[in-house]
Amino acid sequence: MADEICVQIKSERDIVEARQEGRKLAAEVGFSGVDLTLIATAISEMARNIAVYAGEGEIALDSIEDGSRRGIMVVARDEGPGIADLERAMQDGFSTGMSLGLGLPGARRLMDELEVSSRVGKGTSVTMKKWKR
Amino acid sequence: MLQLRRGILILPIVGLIDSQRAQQLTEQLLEGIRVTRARVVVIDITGVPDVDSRVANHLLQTVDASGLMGASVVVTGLSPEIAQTLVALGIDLGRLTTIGDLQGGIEEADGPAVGLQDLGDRRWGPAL
Amino acid sequence: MAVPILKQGNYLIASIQAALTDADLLELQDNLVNGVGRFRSRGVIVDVTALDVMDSFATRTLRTIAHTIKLRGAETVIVGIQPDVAFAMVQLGLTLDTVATTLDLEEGLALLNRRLGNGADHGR
Repeated sequence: MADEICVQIKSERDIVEARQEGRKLAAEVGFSGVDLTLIATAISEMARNIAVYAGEGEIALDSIEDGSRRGIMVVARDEGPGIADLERAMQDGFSTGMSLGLGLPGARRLMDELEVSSRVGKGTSVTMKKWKR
Repeated sequence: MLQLRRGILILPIVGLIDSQRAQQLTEQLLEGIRVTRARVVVIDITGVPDVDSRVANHLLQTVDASGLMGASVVVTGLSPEIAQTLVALGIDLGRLTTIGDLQGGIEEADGPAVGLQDLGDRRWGPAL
Repeated sequence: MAVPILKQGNYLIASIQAALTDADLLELQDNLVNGVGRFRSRGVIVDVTALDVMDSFATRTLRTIAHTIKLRGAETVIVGIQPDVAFAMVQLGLTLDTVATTLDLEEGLALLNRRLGNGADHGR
């Protein structure tokens, strides 16, 4: 299994690098063109959350396997303020209004799996997985 | 997918659709818009017996995504039952342009209807 | 200037070449708004064909560009959103609201010509 790729997020400028590294890894796993964009977009939003709310953090990228399935795992973690109302942040209204807030329901739609763990004052970790169709 | 004439794409959908198939159809449709330069897409759901909330939302997303690519969507073959389901799901039917049947949808897309005048201009445009 | 802007008759055409940072997008906004004022442009086209990802910031910024330019009396058209980018945008719930979008530059110019009542050759 290939090594984990870690992109440090220290400012908004690192968002582009994070999503491009993600796209590159996803291409190596063999994802389709559409999925490459979905994954890159999800990474962009999570990296943006880190830059905007926590100031700094990291995006860890791994290729993963589950039996015969191959996929990509993205962990966006920071030691920022944490999410106060996690349930509300995950609420999915299916609205196509402007994506305010953290974009978590949207990112979950882009990826196959998304889990968040967060503690106020300690930090946040978002784990996303997508499997090759 | 069928291309009626330059600028109009018809997508007839038959059978039950699950979320995964809906996503595939959307991707194919959007790629079809790109390749055929369609300005109007007619999605015909005459052959679809029922929709659930996820499929209904996929439909709305398809309408929105097509719009981002410069194409408007007309939904045809919406049965009264499905219309009721959509309303019960809280879907704003005003977001969909619907015509009763496929023939009507084609005429709407093909003729100089309100909002579709741009399509009329295409007949004068440069050959692609 | 990260994004080259061409003046074509009454129009300004900005062609995004690749991935843009937030700062690049804000610079584009400044350049377009200033350009419209300076050249009295009536239409602006932002070509995003080569943009890898349209995330929340890019979407918000394009909307702001369109609204600000409208206040200066010009129309904006966003052109070239690719199928997978359009798909990702709607999955994320992003919208360009009332901002006009067309398939590509050719369609965008045609739309501006129609909306602004220009003759067929104007802006080409």
